[in-house]
Amino acid sequence: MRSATARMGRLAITLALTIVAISAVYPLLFMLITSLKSHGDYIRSPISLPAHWTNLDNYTAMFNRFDVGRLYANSVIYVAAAWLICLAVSLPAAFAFAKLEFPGRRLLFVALICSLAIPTVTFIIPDYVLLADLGIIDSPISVILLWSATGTPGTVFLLAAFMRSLPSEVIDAAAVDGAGYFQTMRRVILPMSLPAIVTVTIFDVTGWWNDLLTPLVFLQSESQATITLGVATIVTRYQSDLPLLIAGLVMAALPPIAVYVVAQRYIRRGLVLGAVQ
Amino acid sequence: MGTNAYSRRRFLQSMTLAGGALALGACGGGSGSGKGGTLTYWNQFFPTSSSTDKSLKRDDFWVIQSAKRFADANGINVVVTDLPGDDSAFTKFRTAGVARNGPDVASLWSGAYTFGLKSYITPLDKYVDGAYRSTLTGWEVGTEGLVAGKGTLYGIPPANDGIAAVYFDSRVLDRAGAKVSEDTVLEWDQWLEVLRRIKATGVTPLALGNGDYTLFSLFYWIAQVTGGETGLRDLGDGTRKFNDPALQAVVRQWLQLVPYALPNPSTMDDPVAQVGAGKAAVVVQGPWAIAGLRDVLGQNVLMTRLPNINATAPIRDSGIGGPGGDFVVTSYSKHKDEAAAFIKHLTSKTEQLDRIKNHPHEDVKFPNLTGVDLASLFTDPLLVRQAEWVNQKFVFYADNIWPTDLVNEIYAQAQLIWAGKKTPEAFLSALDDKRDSIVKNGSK
Amino acid sequence: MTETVTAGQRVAPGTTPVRRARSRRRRRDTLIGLLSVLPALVLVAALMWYPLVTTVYHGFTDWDGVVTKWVGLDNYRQLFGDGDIWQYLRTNLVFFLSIPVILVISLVVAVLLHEQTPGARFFRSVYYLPCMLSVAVVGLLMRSMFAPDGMANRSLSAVGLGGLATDWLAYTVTSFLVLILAFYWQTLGQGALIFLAGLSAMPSSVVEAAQVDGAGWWRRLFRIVLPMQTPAISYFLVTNTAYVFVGLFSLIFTVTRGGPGSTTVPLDYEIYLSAFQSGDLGYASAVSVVLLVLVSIIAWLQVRNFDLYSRQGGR
Repeated sequence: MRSATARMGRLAITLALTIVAISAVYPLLFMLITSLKSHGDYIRSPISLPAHWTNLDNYTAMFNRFDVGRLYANSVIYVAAAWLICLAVSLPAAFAFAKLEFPGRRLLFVALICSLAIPTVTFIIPDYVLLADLGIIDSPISVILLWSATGTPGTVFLLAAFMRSLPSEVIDAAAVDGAGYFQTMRRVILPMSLPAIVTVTIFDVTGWWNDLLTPLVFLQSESQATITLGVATIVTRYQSDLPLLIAGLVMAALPPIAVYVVAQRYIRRGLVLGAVQ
Repeated sequence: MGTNAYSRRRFLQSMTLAGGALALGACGGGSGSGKGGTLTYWNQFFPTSSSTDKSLKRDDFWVIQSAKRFADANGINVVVTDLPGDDSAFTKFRTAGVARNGPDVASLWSGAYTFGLKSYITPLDKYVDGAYRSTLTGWEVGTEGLVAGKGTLYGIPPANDGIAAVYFDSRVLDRAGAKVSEDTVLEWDQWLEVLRRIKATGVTPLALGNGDYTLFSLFYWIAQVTGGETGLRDLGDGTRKFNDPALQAVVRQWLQLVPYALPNPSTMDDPVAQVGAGKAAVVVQGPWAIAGLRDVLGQNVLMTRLPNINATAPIRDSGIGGPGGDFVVTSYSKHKDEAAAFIKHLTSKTEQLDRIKNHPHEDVKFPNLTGVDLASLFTDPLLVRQAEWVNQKFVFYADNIWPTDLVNEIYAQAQLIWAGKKTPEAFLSALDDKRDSIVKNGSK
Repeated sequence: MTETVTAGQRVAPGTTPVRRARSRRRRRDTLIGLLSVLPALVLVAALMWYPLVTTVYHGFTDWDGVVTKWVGLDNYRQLFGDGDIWQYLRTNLVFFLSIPVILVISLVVAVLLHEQTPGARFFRSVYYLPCMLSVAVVGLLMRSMFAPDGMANRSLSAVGLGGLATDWLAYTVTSFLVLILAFYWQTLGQGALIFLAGLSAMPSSVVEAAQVDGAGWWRRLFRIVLPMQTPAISYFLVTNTAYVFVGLFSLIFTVTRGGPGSTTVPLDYEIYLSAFQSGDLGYASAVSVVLLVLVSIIAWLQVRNFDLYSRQGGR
């Protein structure tokens, strides 16, 4: 009797999880299908399957229209640089907030967290003026700096939240063993924080990759554009070729998804590693 | 817990690492492009991709080729940057304007949209002589006050977008036994009768895309009873109230369309697609919809002027449309003379005609040239008639006449009244309130 | 957990050599601590706090980007005078009140995935997909799904609930439902990842011990698992609170554009409209200041409460 209920419960859980999973995958299928249609096909019947599954015209058009390799390379470089900077400043800060005692700790932490509450639209103009004065408008540096700065409060917060739950004894033990700051960081803190680092990396990287406003405002020449920015210029005031736009969106979305799927193994390892400690 | 001790040297080492990463990021950045001898144009008006021919490269499009011709002839480097066609382009233009670090030339939406950005735009009067003026039409859309020659000139129209019209699936009209001819303008009752007959065949007649149900139809009918652009201007500056019996009647008539329209602007916002799918038989659109309609209906497209709201309106048998965009020169440009020359080049007769003759895959935009028989440039009868309309009297887009905030309020409120949650009186007086607060705060 | 409390417990006070060692160590901690947080603070201060100072100043001016005119409290008077601010705030509040539900859903899903439900690996990979899509896609999708002839209505009719079919985006209440669904859809993956990371870090012995004790599943969830997840929960709550006050712009912009009417316009969308469409940068600055003060108070309360909670949790 009891096991039957348990089995039913399990079944219900699996069913619920499956429904959520379908709703998560559906948009991608929808996008892939639509991107294979011509504008005419789409106008005739927006929801049918494509007439020819091999119709790659929209993708060809993207390659004709943009230097796609360049757009991808730009996106990858900017995101990677922002990620490096963001982690480089966030890791020590998170560690200090979580595990060290120093005057002003709480105040600075709250101030940093409250920075999450500053809407992008308010600092975009002052920052543009500031960076223009420094002569780094239309330069990737502006986007990289903005991304890493706006990513820092959340990154510090997540890392600190996670590090606080790490057993202090292990860190103390490392200190007793005579390990220096740098060694402790590398041998103890980094490996133990790996699940949190992996998680925050996923959040930051996908957020930056999809960000339109920052590159739109701060980058001007086409050679500097990110893939997300390039795709956004397909829409015109009166008419939008939806299949073409969606093909662009697929092209913008696929690399992070591919990386995510391929990196699953490492992500899982990252998530498990923490538990081993 | 607060007892982790480290040597200071180790700590500083890790700081150096962080600093290194910063420097690395900076190096990866590359150098900002220098601006010496370069003219930058932010384009959101001319296409650089086509929905009908996807094999075209960016260099195949008119605006890119035309810019290159100018560059070659004048020994100056011209950079064309495409902006998104939606509001985000304004965000970018405004931000660049605050920092005085943006393009030399930009294409914006004309009228109020342009005047709202005039802090960042150079008046063009001294760059424009009588000879050049006489070659183009549509000067009013870039002139503050919207009367050509009577105000500061901020923008120069690059083309005419054409006139909003009603497009029918003629097969459905035949099936419904509704008689509509291209040459007559439907009176209101006839219009409702046509819609009723179409609906009786089982097809919902009207597909009105997102916002179009106000943009083209309501705005035009308001203009009809208030006397055209003058009336619209009076409504915009408070000389005339929205909430009066004449406009209440217009709104009530407009709401008679609700039962004949597909519920709420729907799937993917493309009314032409809905007609193509057989879900609707009538759209109200500008001439840019013609290519798509030809694609789904072939020869079975019948185009008429927008119906007349009533027999006594001062404006009848007309339409709403015109040059919805303009070229501007930024106030901070260091190459204003070259920028003005570039605009003159883009709007020259040679270039405008080249666009029509050699770039058939681009969205149709009618040349705004004086002394050119526009109709002779086109073969599709629908485009020929649009070209004729462009040279006749029409009402300029109300959304380019009214303050942008008021237009946004109309869009927002129209959703409510269209869904039956507001009375015409409440709708119109909400517009009066909004307009009054704009006028008040604008002059503080 | 707080370091001071445990430190006080561990080190017996009064013995002079220990105290001297402690004070030396504390000084070193202070220096290292400050230097550790410095780079992060400099970066954030330069690009987020400095603009804030200028925003506060511009809140008292009539500023079009070129000409600045001091107008005192006019912008604030206008903001509170016409009463629109309450409607914008209502939108933010609706989302704010919806956070606890998605918190519980995310937690439950994370725990289920952690307990190796069949297919957990697959689910885990798939759940984050919606978060990787740009808002343009999400907006497009939501609008098509909830169109009058969209998937939602057709599915309802198919299961005999055609009576519930409606024009979702034409009514305020159903518009909010659609928006919150989109919000949940994109947040579930994020929440599940955060809590999975937290659960992974939890010593499995604790959970196993509770299982041996025969504690029921829900009991285990609320008494053992949740208290150990407070840092993750606090992170989830604070970031999502920030999101519903300052991050809604793109979701609203792509799904409802603030409609019907302006009933789903949140404060940050209003800032965008007044700054970039009306060009009233002074007024927009004033709205930003109000928003910032509001969210800071909420964020501070949340951080504080969770610190207290974890102290009581006895860790």
